[in-house]
Amino acid sequence: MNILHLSWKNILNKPLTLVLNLVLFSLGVGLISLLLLVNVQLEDKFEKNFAGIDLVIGAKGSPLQLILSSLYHLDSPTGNMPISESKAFLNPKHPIFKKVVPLSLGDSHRGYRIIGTNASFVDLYEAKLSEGKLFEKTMEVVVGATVAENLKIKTGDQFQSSHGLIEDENLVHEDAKPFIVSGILGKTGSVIDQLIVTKTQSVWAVHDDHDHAGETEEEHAEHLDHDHAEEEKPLAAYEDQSITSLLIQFRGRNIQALNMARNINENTNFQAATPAIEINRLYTLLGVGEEALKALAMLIIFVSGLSIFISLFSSLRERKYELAVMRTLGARPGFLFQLIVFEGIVIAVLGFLCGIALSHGSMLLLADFLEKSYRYDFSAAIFLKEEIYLFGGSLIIGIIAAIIPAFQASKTDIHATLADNKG
Amino acid sequence: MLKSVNLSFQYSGAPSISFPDFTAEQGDQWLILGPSGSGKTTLLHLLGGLLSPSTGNITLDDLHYSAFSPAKLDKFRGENIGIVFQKAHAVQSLSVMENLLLAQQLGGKLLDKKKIMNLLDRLQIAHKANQKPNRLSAGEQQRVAIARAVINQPRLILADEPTSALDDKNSTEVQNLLKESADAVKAILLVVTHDNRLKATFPKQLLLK
Repeated sequence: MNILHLSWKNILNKPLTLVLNLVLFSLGVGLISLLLLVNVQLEDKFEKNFAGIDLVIGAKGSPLQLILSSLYHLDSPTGNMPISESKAFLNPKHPIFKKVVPLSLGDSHRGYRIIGTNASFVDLYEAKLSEGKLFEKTMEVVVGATVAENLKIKTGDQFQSSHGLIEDENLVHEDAKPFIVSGILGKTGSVIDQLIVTKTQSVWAVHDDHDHAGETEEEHAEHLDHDHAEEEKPLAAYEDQSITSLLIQFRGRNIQALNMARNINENTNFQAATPAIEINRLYTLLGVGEEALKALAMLIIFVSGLSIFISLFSSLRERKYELAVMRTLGARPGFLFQLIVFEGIVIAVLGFLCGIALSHGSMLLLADFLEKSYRYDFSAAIFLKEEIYLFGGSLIIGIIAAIIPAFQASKTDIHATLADNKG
Repeated sequence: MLKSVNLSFQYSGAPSISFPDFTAEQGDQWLILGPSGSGKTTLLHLLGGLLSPSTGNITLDDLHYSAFSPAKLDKFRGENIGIVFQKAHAVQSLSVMENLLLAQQLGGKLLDKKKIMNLLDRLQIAHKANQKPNRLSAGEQQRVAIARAVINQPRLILADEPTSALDDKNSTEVQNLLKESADAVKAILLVVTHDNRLKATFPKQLLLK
């Protein structure tokens, strides 16, 4: 029968008040915790997917869209870049570009994007093969870990791609050559887990096949051989083809490199976008909503603190006789003070726990939704050190809400209270 | 032995109330009578250490407790004085048993459920041990109050109008239980009342004017 036990019994004795306090408190804590969870994981995803890229070059349009589509694989591409016009960027001896990774986007398989590129794309994300080998021939693909897991793809499987980035059976390239899975990538935590990666030529082959739909089997076979012969050519040699964008790493961050983006934007038909700048712009946009939600959460927590205060304060009026009687039984004023403070703390701790359960529970549901709609996997099972601060904050709110009622209780005037009760 | 000498108390802005000196031997049972406003409750609160007197002193077994510091007085009260009020005012969130355990703890005694059950049995409310106080009748609640006052075997038991909220039957029962319980622990019993039903059974009476 220690003080904490008595506090606990007192709280349980008013179940409706307890529920009201817990609902308010856990909503506030849950909202803040959920914001933290989403924010940290989103930033982590954005961070990982930067992949050391300094510049993205693509067709003119929104720079944010270019970054989102080429680096995060979220939005639609801005358009095509004819190779004939982009040859200068593809020069392996480029004085400013250390690494140039070509991307051809636009096709997908059951909602997962197919990226036409080369082996350097896999290196960008430091992805390792978990089985099989990397694509060598046209139509060979390696599959990201999440794709393989969700679609139950194994090495050696074949599939036909769909046109566009959403799952639509009517858009399957039925008459095109199937892709063959040559390998599966291990989990990286970056966007490549959600992608199917192949050679640029494979993406072209799918669309070329449409043009050659009238070919006989024999001619078709001949055409395949033809492709093989062409595979060794550098990308710049395919003058009549197009790609979607280029991911660039600079040799060094000198003035020339920094001026490169402006040069491209002013002097070519293409645009160059810097991931860091665009993502900061995105954060700023998201930040407004986040700030508003945070302010709302703070308001809810403030109201819940007020609600704890009011319920403790009004319970004192009901309990003034029993508090006075406890004093006659030998309880010190400090005992009554602690009793009420503990009641505030217990509500705050319970509210915190409910709030954390609420946020991680909703994260579990949200993660499912985010993965389905954005191909990003979020986890509900990570716990952040910010949540410890949130716990500290909850304790402080519980104590502050209880301190005035507790002081009031400790000041109980035994004589006045009990003499006054002459029915 | 309880001894009150030259006792007076003054509420701010009111004339001082003086109380007659008296001495009660261990095991004595006194009735303190007087009209409303004669200071019955004030006297009881002074004797119970809930108020400090303006003048005079009170000693229990030669301990001059009316001059104790607040902390020492709280401890002394928990250990040596049991008080029964007009209503029980038990802690509503605790069962009868838990209320008595709390009394043992606050009085600095060992928690002893068996002792509590024996006492509840004597007071004929053992079957209510696990009930919340507000589920009990007024008579039963008053028995809980008696149990709470005597559980720590105090030297002095004070009762302030213990029967005035009860009907005749319960009044008689509570009165008897109070006297028996005081006898069982050999405590001094002082009952403050204006309830005439009690007059007949208390040979020692103190009249306040």
